[in-house]
Amino acid sequence: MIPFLDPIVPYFPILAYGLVTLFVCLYGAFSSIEFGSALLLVSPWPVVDVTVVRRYLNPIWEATNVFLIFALVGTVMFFPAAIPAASVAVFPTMMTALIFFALRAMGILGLMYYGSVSEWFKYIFAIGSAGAPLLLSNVYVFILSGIAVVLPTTALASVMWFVVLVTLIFISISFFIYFAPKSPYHGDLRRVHVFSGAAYLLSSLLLSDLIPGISTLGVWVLNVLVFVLVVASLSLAEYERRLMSFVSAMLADIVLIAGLSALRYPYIAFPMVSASSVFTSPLMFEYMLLVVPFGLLITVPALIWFYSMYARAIR
Amino acid sequence: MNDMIPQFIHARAFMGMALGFHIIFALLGVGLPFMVSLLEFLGVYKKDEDYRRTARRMTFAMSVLFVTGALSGTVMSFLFSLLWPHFAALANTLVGLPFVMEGFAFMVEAVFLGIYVYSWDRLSPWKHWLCSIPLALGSFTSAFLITIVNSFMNDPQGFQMINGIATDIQPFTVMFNHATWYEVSHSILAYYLTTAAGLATLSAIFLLRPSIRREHERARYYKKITATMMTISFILATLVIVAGDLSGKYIAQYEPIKFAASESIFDTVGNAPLKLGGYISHDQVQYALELPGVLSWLAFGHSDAIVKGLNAFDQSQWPPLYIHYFLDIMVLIGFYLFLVPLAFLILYGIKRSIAFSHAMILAIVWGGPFAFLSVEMGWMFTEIGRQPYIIRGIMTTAQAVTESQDVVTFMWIFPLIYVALFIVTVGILYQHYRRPMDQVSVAHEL
Repeated sequence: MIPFLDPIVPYFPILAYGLVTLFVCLYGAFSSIEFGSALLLVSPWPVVDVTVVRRYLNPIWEATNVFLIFALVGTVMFFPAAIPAASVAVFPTMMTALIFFALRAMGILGLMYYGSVSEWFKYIFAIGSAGAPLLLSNVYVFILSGIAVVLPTTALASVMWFVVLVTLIFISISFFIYFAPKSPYHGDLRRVHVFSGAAYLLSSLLLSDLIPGISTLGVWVLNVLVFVLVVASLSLAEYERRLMSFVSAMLADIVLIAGLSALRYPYIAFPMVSASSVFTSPLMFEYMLLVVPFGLLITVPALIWFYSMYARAIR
Repeated sequence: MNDMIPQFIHARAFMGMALGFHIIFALLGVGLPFMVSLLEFLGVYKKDEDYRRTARRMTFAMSVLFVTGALSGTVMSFLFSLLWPHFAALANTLVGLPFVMEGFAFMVEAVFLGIYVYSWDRLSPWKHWLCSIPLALGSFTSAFLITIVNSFMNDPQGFQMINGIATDIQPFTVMFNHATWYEVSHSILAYYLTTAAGLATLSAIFLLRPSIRREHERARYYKKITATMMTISFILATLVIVAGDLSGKYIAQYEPIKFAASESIFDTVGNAPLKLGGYISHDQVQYALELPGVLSWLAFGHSDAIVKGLNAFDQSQWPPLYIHYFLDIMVLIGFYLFLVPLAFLILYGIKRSIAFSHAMILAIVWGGPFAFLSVEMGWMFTEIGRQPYIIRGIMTTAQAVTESQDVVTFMWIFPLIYVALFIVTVGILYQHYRRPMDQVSVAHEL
C-alpha cells in the first residue's frame, strides 16, 4: 500500500464512482453534439448543412470517443465484481448498442471520407447515432432502477429515451448556433433551440420523479439547477452570447447526469449492488489512481492545444 | 442443434471473429503512424517531396482505418466483459493497471491523430513531423499494454489464488511476467512489418499497371516507394524472426503443452525432430518433413535436449492439435517476408531492372496479404494454443463464459455488420488509392 494514500482508503469507492461519473458526463456532453448533428441532418426541414457537420466531426470525434472508453474501463476496472451479474442483465442492450455504434462508424466513414456524400450515409449515421445513446441510456436505467430493458417498456426507460433525444438536439443545436453563425438556417436553429430547451426541462422533471428511492430534496435541488442552466442557455443565445449558451446547455446535461448519479450513490445497480461491495482491491486502485494524474498531465495539455487550434481555425 | 454446442464454444467463435477482424485494423493503427512518421521524417530531412506526399497520402488511410479500428476496438473492450464476465471479474483486479494506462495511451493517439491530420497546412514541416511522434508512441504504447494483458493470460504470475479470490497481488509482476517481452516484441514488430509489406504491396500494384510503367515520372515514384518499403521490410523481417525464435524458446520452457502440440510431439524425446507441414490424423502427424534434432536445438540450444511430449500431460489439458498448421503457416510466411526483400535488395544492388521485373513485383504484391494472414495465424496460435484455459492454469474458458442466452443471436449478427463495415472501409480506400498520386488533389488527400 502507498502510505500517503492511507487516509483516503475508506473513500476509494466513492472516488472511483466519481471518476466514472465524470467520464460519463464528459461523454454525454461532448458526444451529444455529434449524435445530435446526425439527427439534425435528416430532419424534415433543413437546420444544418452537411459540410458544417463534416467540418466539426473531422478533427473532433476521435477525442470524444475516448471518454466512452474511459467510462467503460473505469466501471469494469474499479468495480470488477459487478461484472458477472450486471453483464448478463445488460447483455442484449449493450450488444444492440454496439450494432448501432457500428452503423454510426459506417455513417462517419461515408460522410467524412467518401468522395460524394450519399443520402444513404446520412441515414445510416442518423440511425446509428440515435440508437447508440438510446441503448446506452438503458444501461443507465439499469443502474438507476435495477431493471434491465432493451426497448423502453417501463415508464422510466420511456422518459429516459425522451430525455436522451431532447438532450442530443438541445446540445447539438446550441453548438451549431455557436459554430455556424453565418449558416442560412440560423433563424430556424434558434427556434428549435427554444423548443428543445423547453422539452428538455419538462422531460428532466419527469425523469427525476420516476427514479425509485432517491432523496426528494436532492431531486428538487437538481431540478432547480437544471432549470437555471437551461434558461441561461436560451437567454444567452438571445443576447448573442453563443459560446456561453452552448456551455450552459452542456452544463445542464452534466449536472443532470452527475446529480442523478450522486443521488443514486452508493448503488451501482439499485438496490442489489453497492459500490463498496463490488469494489476492486484497494492496492490495485491506488496504482490506477496514481496513473490518472500522470495520464492527465500528458493528455489534458494535448487536448487543450487541439481544441484551441480548432477554435482558432473555426474563427 | 445449438443446445448441443456448449455456450463457451459459441462465445469463442464470436470472440475469435471479433478479434480476427479487429487485429487487421489494430495492427495498421500501430504500424501506419510509425511508417507515416518515418516517411515524413525522410521527406523533411532530405527535403524530398515524394516522401512527404506519401506520408500525407497515407494520413488519409490512417484516418479512415482509425474509424474502423476504434469501432472494432470498442466492441472488443465491451466483449471482454459481456462474453467472459467471470474472466473480467478476476482479470480486472489483476491487470486493471495496464488497462487504465492503455486508456491514456489511446487518448494520446486519438488526440494527436486529430492534431496531425488537422495541422498539415497549419504548422511548419518539422513541427508537424514532431506531432507524429506522440501519435506513433501512443499507438505503440497502446499495443504494448494490451499485449501485456494477453501475456498475463499465457503466463499468470504475481498473485495467489485462495478460494477463488486473487490475493497478495504484485501488479508489476503481473504485468511483466515471463511471456511479456517475447510476446510484445514479436507481435509489435510483426505489426510494423505487416504495415511495411502492405505499403510495398500498394505501391507495387501500381507498377503492374502498363500505363504507369510507361510513364517515367510515375514509375520512378512508385519504384522509389517500393524500394524504401522493401528496405524497411528486410530490417523488420530480420527482427521479427529473431523475436519469433526467442518466443519459441520461451514457449518451450514455460508453456510446454502448447509447444508440444504446435510441433506435434507426442512422446517425450531427446534429439526431437522439427516437423514441417504434414497432416494431423488420429493424434498423429503424417507426411511431415522431419529434421532430426532441429527442434531440440531451436528450443534449448543443443540437439540432444529433451522435449516433453503431449503424453506427459493429461489429455484434458491438450490444446487442439491443429495449432501445428497455424504455426507452420506463420513461420513460412515470416521467411517469405524475409527472403523477398532480401532478394529484391540484392537484385537492386546488381541491376535495378531485374529488381523491378514482373516476377519480383508479383512476389512483392503477395507479401502484403501474406503478412496479414501471418498475423492472424499468430494470434490463432496464441489463443487456441492456450485452450482449454482462458488464464493458463487458473481459469478455463468454460468457467469464464457468460450465462446470457443471447450469445448465439449476436454471434450471427456481428459478422454481417463487420462485413458491411469492411466493404465501406475498403470501398473508401479503394476510391482514394485507385487514382495515381499525381491525379489526386490535396482536397482528396485529406
